[in-house]
Amino acid sequence: MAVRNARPRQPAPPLPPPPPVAPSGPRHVGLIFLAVLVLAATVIVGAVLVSRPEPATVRIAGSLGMFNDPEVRRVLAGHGLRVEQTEFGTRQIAENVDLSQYDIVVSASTVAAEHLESRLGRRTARYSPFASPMAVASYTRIVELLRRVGVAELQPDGTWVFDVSAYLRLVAAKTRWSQISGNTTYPNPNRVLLATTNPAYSNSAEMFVAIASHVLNGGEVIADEAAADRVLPQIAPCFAAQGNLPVKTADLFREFLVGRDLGPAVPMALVYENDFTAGRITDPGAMTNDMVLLYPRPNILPAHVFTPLTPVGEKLGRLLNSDPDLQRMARNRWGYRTNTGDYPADMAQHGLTVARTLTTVNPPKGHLLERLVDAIVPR
Amino acid sequence: MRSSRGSRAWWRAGLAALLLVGVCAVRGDGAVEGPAGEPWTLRVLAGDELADLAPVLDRAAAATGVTVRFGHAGSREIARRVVTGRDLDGYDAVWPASDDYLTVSPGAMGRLGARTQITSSPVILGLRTSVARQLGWDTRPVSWSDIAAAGGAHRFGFAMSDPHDSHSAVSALLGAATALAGEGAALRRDDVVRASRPVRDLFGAQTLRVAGSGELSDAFARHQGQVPAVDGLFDYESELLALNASGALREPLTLVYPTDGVVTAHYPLSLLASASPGARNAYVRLVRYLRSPAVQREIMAETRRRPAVPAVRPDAGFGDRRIFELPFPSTAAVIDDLVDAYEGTLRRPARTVYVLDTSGSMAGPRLADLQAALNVLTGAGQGVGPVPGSGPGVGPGARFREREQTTLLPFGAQPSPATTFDLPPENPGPVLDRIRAFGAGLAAAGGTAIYDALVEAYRVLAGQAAADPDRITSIVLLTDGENNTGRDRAAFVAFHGGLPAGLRSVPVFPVLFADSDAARMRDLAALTGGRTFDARTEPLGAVFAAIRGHQ
Repeated sequence: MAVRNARPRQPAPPLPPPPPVAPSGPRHVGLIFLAVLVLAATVIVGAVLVSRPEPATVRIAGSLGMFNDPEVRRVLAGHGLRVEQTEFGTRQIAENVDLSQYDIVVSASTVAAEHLESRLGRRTARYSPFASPMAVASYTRIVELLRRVGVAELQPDGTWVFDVSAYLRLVAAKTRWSQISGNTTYPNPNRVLLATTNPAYSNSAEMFVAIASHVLNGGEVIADEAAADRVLPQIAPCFAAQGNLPVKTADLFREFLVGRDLGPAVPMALVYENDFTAGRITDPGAMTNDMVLLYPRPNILPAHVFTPLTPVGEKLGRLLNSDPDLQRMARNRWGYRTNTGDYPADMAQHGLTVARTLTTVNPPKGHLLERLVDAIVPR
Repeated sequence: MRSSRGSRAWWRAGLAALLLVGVCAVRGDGAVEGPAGEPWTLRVLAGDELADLAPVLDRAAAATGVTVRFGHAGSREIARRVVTGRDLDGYDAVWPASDDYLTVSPGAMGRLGARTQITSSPVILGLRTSVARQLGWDTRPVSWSDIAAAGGAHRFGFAMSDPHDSHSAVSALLGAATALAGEGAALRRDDVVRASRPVRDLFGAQTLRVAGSGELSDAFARHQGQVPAVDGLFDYESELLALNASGALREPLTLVYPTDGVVTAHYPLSLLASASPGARNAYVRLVRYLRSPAVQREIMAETRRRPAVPAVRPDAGFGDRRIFELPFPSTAAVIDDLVDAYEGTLRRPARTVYVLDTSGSMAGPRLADLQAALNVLTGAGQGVGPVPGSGPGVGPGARFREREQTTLLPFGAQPSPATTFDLPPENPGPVLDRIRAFGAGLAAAGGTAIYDALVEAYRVLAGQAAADPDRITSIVLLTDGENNTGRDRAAFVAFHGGLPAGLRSVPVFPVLFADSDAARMRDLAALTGGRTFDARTEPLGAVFAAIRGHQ
């Protein structure tokens, strides 16, 4: 069991005086004396060792690759913290994970954090030290097909836009990859579908529901139940046609990466921008040059929200928010947009072209978003 | 002065020794972790076919201190246990081929903790190379429609496991049904019906059925040359590659990856929510080890499953085919409907002769056991879910199904007249009632003429096969003692050797019961290509239900 509450360091006790030498006396007296001293020293030294502060373990409910990063762990250890995280989908955390086992929860958005707070039955401190917009991970040859059907659009700054409105029309028409004219590179007879996680468990898919609802509501945030019910029939097929869905965005992105030379098995996946950028920076062997990042238009910028449950969780939240080293690592190693720094310039150093500006919208109010999600994924 | 200096040196040495003692003490408390971590035994309920990971897990134990103790079940049975929360005592984690059954089941997710994919393998068709060549499938892409058409035209026969328990079988069913529904999207309940004609063409070509994924490839190798032919099997790519490398085949299998897509197993190792903090810690250590690139390569080399981490590429042995993935449905009802349709209308129906010992020694509780076991097969008192009193794993799949042909052949000193029950395509209830009534009327008397009764069973089957050949045929033998009258074993072996190939290929499934002669029964199973089932340690009803996976 790890030590949770480190005790303050105690001053080292003064060394006992050296044993007097009795050149003429019996030798065993000196030995006995030495034995007594050895015993005393054992107790003292033992006490010193045990009381030295151990890093306190912070148990995180949620998944951020950042906390597996040895450099991040080193900085945290310098602050006396050691993290231990358990991966869950965000809504899974908010709904059926035993929270007594954790010190802090990472939610992928404010909506999810509110959901968690309603489960906790109290408002807590929240930290939002970094954020990452929604992104579509795809491949050059797939993007070329998407461009032909008006879904992908190259921007002057070299980034790609994924037009959600055009995509929703393709879904409604049940278009298949093999039906795209001139498609000789991806003869998949299945429908053109953006792979997502399960919106009932995972924030990224929930954000797609929010984005689609905004597009289908004439560019306005859904404000009432009638509006939600009106857009629902056009959002539902985006998920229903996909069948069973991954629970976590990290799993979906992994499926995207692992399936890269299988067809690809996952032609396009809705992830966070930093899944893609951090992948390039920290695990370049997992990615290939034909992988492309697109930005949904419109987009949403969900911030990771840290909700501390214990004092040691609180300490981690504060550090992430304010420690300059951790902020820099969040940006330059883990691809997050932080409050400080020039993100596009930093990413350019890694050979990544990222959007400087994004058209972002707000998600509907929690209960309306939930109404949509519950109708899309009956549970 | 010299001595004083000497004693100071003593002091330093003593202090250094004490420091070491202190460090060791802290280590002993567990606050300081060695590289391997604390020893821990993680108890994992895993898919049958994962037994091949034993060498990898042995090395994992040496490297991490985490020893995995496996229990095995079919992946769908694992899912049933998680969904119901039953029969999971003593387990910390589950490791099925797929947990899609869990993510589509409301409530099941709450029983699971962390989940990590370890390796993957798509379910595809392996076909004898000569047959693949005849079909032109060795050179051109093959769609599910092509496979269904060839099956419907009896151009090949194949083996598959029981979709009630096995994920590989469900994957084959789903692949065919999803692709043949032609929607280009996840299968819905309506599509199950729409897909049925071509899917029925395909599954009508199934000539061998084996209960579990773990025993399918062995059974395929054993049944080479049987009549009707078993030319291929739907199984995990890993099993097919292993079969090709095993030296057990008369000719290699051509691997057929349908162009419209396949269903891939991702082998998620999932902690149960009930796992202790110690188990959770062990899980994290084990998973980190199993997903390290070096171990991923070992898993790939030793089990022929594909890597689950993107940094490790599939090696050349997998080829460089394009493989599309077909979606898994979003509700459990679709799978239930599909498996039900498979049993009731799609598959080649079963034909079974039950050769039942009703000699004098069966009188009393043994006969009552037999009657109760027959009741399991007629679905008596059975709703959806496990059959009361029949032990774990006896699901609704156990009962006799529509279109099935069942013959009961009781015997004592000589065989009694065989009684055949043909279950109609719909509304089988009245026939099931008659089977139950027949069982209730059994009475025990006389000697035990096992071989004479078996000869009679083959005679009955010969007549049935002449009238209606396309069946998955087997004989179940239940006896509580030794052969003591009629033909002896040698005479039976001679008789069996003279049977036409179609009958000689019919497997006999002897049930070890009470005082039956286990060695002779194993002998009989080996001679006929069947296997024994043990009702001395399990209730007879559960054993009869388990045999259903082979019928």
